[in-house]
Amino acid sequence: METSRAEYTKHTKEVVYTPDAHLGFGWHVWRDMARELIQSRELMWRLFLRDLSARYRQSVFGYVWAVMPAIVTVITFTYLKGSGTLPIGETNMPYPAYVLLGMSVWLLFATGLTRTTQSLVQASAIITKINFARETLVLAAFGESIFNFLIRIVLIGVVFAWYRVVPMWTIIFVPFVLIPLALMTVGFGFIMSIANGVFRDIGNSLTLLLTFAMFLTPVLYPPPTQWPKVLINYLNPVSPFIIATRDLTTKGTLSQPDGLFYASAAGFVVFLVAWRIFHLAMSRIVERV
Amino acid sequence: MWYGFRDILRDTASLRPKTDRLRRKEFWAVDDVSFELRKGDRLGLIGPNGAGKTTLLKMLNGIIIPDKGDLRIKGRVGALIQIGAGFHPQLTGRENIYINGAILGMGKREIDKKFDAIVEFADIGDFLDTPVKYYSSGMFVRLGFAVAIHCEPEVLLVDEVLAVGDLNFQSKCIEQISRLCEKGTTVVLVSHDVSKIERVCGKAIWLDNGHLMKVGSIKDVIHSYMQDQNQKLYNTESSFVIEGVRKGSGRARVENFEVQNTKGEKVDSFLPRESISFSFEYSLKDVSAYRLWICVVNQAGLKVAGDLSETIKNNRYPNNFVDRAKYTLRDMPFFPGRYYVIAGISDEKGLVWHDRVAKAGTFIVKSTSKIKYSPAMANFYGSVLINGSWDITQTEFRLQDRIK
Repeated sequence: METSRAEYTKHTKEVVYTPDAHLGFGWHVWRDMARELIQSRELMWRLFLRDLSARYRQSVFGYVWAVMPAIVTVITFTYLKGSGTLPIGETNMPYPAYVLLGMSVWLLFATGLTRTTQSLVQASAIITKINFARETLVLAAFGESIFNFLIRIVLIGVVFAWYRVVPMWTIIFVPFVLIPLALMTVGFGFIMSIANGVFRDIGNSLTLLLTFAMFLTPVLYPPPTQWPKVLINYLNPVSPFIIATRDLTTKGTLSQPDGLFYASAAGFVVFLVAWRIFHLAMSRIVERV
Repeated sequence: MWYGFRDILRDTASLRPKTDRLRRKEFWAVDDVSFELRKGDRLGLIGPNGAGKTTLLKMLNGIIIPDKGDLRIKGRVGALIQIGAGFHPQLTGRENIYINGAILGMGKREIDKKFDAIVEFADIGDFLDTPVKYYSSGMFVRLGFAVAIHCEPEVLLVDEVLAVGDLNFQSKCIEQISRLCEKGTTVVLVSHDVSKIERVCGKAIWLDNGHLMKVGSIKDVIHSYMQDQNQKLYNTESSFVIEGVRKGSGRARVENFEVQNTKGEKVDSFLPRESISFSFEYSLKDVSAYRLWICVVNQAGLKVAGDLSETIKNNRYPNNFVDRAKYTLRDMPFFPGRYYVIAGISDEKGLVWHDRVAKAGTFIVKSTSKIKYSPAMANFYGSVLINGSWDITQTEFRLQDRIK
């Protein structure tokens, strides 16, 4: 076995473990956390590939399942609206496209949250035995949600073409708008994954809660303008992102810039705080699991 | 649970943890253990179960952070602890190699280079491209092991995990570890098998209940450990042999069993190769032919001398009381340790027990300076002491004639 050690040894620096090494609010703490994460990027990618390829490996429809829930919902609600069963306001683009766009953003959050919440419990065997950055598990799980989102974009493109909807040029800003949403989702995921490890109910009830929450978000209907329903646009942290996405696609301007601003700021804060808590909690949890 | 939650809160608030004192119901899993290893050292961790060996290993691995004191390690740490970590049953062996490798800290390029070596070591043949869920447990372990062992860390932690796989594979593993040692890898080995540690390691640490009992060269530490074990040996009773249980038809009864020396005195310890006698009384009720039976069992429940028996046919006194039956064993071949004697009376064919007393008697064979008790030495001496002699005859011959 002729392998060059120098080539592979990245860790020739001395590592010191002390009781309070990982505490503190200083810059060095964040730098260490970030460095650990960057070093684990390849592991993240591997875990992501693993979960993705394994998920649909023995199924017939494969990756179609990624978009199935969205399609079913769109069809169902289009019919309900069209037949007059549900009174939904008018939208500025064909309803199916409208719903699909909203749903895609919503699912980025919802699927992301459910997957990340389960990620730690699924890997419980290796967490206590091997030393690696646990954040990678949560982030790799969120990667799946991103993948599903990308597939849905293709579907959106098809639907747009079908209805001859031409998006405004401002659509290129949509990915930037969604970054804070992704951060917020991962942040919640960090906290929920730990909580799920302790109270398994959380994972089980999450799907139910999220379905309920979807009805409290302007996904299937245009943003309400009347009080008190208009609160949905502000109190629900995901709403601004959905509204902004639709605006940028169709109108070219933001109808709710302040909401978007606050929600984005919240997203960043949630992510940073949650990441820190996650990092600290992991070392304690490992002792007790 | 509650302590954990409070700890997390304190960590978040960045308050310096009050970890140097114990809270209620807590105990020090590893208490004041200090040692230093240089590159290429091979350290053995010995001690009874629950001594804190695995906890110490977890600290070296960076999974648990010490509550008091500090730990400094230079170099990549690899562990042969959780074999097959990250394996997903639906994915093929090939894919799982990359995943397991990534979790252990190996990059794609590194795995690519070592891929063939890993596959050859694992010896799973064509199964490389089938999903891991179809692997036998042996194949699973071999593959996991192959990846872990090719990780080539600077510090290798091994936790009692070398006992899997067939002999061929086991020897491959030990060979690989030796090769890593030659290249200068520092190895920390945890095992109950003292002989294995003696073979591989140069330094050892003896842990008991979290305390560092002894640290030093392998010989010193094992000597101390063995002395302590010896002491415990004399003090404890084995649980393998059932306490004085008597069974049988009742037509005979063994009483007053004594272990004696050559002078007939009741003794409980002997030197190796001394003569020993077993003496007892028995009574019979309507038994015309019978067999007296003794066997000697060691502490592990292994029979070291079985079927020391005598058959008596044509007993003229079927209802009788016998004053004394004595069995003498000259030049006892028993290895130092504690032994139990099972005595019984059966019918002449040995099929039906009239009376059988487990643990009728017990005795110790002491260690001497020449013949010391230790499990490692058992491998060296064998299970019994043999009293033979050498006879060497030398004739003149020319070396060249013989070796052609």
